[in-house]
Amino acid sequence: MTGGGIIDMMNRRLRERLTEADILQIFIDVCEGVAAMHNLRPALLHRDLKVENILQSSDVLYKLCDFGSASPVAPRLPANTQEIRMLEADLNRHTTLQYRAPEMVDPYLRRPIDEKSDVWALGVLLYKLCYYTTPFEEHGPLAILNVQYKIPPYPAYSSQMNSLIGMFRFCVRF
Amino acid sequence: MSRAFVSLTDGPKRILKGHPNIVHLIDAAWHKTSNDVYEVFILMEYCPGSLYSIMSAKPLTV
Repeated sequence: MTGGGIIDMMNRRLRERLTEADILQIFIDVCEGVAAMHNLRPALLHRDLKVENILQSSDVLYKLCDFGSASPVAPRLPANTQEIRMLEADLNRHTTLQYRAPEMVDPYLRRPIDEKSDVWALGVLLYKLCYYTTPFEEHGPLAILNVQYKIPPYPAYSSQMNSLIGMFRFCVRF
Repeated sequence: MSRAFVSLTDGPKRILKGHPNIVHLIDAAWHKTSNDVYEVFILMEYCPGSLYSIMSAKPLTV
């Protein structure tokens, strides 16, 4: 009796998950779709980028769907508490907590919600494609505001992949 | 629903149409069923798969 069965099983399971090449293929397609929206004048934000809103059209083609949350960038920041509450209600209805950028988690920060907020969600999406969980699942909104997340030890990806995930930190305005 | 229509019926619809990474809107129709209630139909391009189902079929196991 050898350990071959278990090794075989582990190898099979290692093969079954998405590879780095698979992940990049999906991510590039999503980025192209988002770029097309952001390149409109005025730019259109998707605001609800997540795994559930990506469809597969063929083996090598992925598409963005669900534009029910899309909106242009607000012309100005909320001016008073009432406007902030309205924005908060709109965000709760049209966006997904785990993918929200700090300015969406706490509208009282009065930071602009724009293309960068979608790019933040792209970073969260890439993390989820790699690790099957979102970076702020465990510690919630406070971790989002502080941009605190960890890269899991398994599965291992190239350092370039983890740098790409880390790009979304540069979307944070202070 | 009104929000979806604002973004689908004006400029962006035309510009995004034909982009390979955006699900295409084929047509939309709506009619009033009662006073303030509208029934809305949106016909989108068919995509056989979803990222969610791909990830579910390829679980991450240690």
